[in-house]
Amino acid sequence: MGRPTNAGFGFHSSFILHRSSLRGFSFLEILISLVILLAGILAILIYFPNILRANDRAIVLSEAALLAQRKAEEVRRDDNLARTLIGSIRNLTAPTSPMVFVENPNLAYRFSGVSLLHPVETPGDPASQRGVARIIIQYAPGFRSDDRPLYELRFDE
Amino acid sequence: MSNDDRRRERPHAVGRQGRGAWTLVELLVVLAVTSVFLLGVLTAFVQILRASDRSERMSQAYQNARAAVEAISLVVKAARIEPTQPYQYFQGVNTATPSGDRIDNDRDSRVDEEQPNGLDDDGDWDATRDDHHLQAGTASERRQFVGRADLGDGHVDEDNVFHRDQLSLAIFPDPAIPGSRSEITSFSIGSWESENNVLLQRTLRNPGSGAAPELGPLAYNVLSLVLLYWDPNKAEPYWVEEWDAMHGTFPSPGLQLPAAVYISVTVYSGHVPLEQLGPAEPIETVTASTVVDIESVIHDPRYDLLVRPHL
Repeated sequence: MGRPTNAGFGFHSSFILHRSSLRGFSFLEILISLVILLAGILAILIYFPNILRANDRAIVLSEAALLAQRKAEEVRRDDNLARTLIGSIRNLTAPTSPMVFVENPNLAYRFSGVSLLHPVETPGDPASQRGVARIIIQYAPGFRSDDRPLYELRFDE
Repeated sequence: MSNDDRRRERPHAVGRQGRGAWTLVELLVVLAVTSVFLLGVLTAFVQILRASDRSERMSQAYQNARAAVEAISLVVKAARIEPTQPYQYFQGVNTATPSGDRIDNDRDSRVDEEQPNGLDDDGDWDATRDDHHLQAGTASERRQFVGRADLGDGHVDEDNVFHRDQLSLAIFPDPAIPGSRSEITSFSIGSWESENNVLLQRTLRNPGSGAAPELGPLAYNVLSLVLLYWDPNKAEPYWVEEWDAMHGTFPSPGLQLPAAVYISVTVYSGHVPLEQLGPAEPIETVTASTVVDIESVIHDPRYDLLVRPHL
């Protein structure tokens, strides 16, 4: 029996055929592969806080809805016979400055007669209608510089 | 076997002259770098897991608290004064516990020193710092309390003991609406299937029909239920801690129901089972709260007579 050949076993033979040129990984190659591995794992790790943020945002939106309801109910309860307060809120053509909530210092509220979520008034769309009293909830300025509205509640007397 | 053969057998050992196997120092450096890298990854991963766990617990607890607040709100909102009834039934019982979350929330070196009553019990309200009233034009929210401490200001009810308040109320059918809702509902913290600290709702639909009351849990691990009632009959309407529509006195043109109810539900969000917490350990909680107007009261002509002219 002759010496076995690798003919017909391409995959295996390719390793064997080039054995003479194999010399293992160099130190530099190992370091480069480590850096690539590190970058890959970091990319995955960076993704996790986004998931956490999404979870936190769900809580924040939920809390914003309750706090907005609270403010609207207080305004309706405390308004006078002429409905001066609700009337003044309806007449606001720009939102008031934000006021930080005592219950959650990360959130702030504004009164407004115009929508920030739907700034362009569209006929037939009540969400964009001007002259409707609104409570707008956003992040407190001291907490995040993002002043986009988180939640907007329209209410009436 | 020739030297060439040996080299072919052990390719890594080949070429020590410049390439091939690693030196011990190179191996140690690679191991050190890998260890530092893995340690960093592990630390970050553990922190992420912890944050994720905490976020998940808080989210669950908050959703439970909020669902409970919403359930109570829906019932309170439906309450109304039914003039055809000989009496109204709306009973709020105030029950304080000796302690709260054992955390000095306002950092004044005192722990749980306030009652959740809308008053500045610990006297730390400061007009320049805590008087919060948003203005719309010349009008202001809660303007009757500008310059005075009230619920909604800073440093009012910020470091409370837990309460286990109870509320029972009747929703009478509206004679003008055939088949309208008729029930007696109560909310309290109690036990459910051998578990303590469960917020329970008990509802008796169509009283007098012989139907059995329905009892069910609204939320678990509820450490505090606070209910306050906005009394429109006071010279200066404000929150009170108890309400008894049946036995209270409401001189004409008195309103037998409050104008609004403040509802606050506090749920445990810690990772250690509550019963395993030490007697002095801080208690991690989340709170959902809101204010609900009783529509039939704030739209009652007597409210216009009693309250609105003074606003």
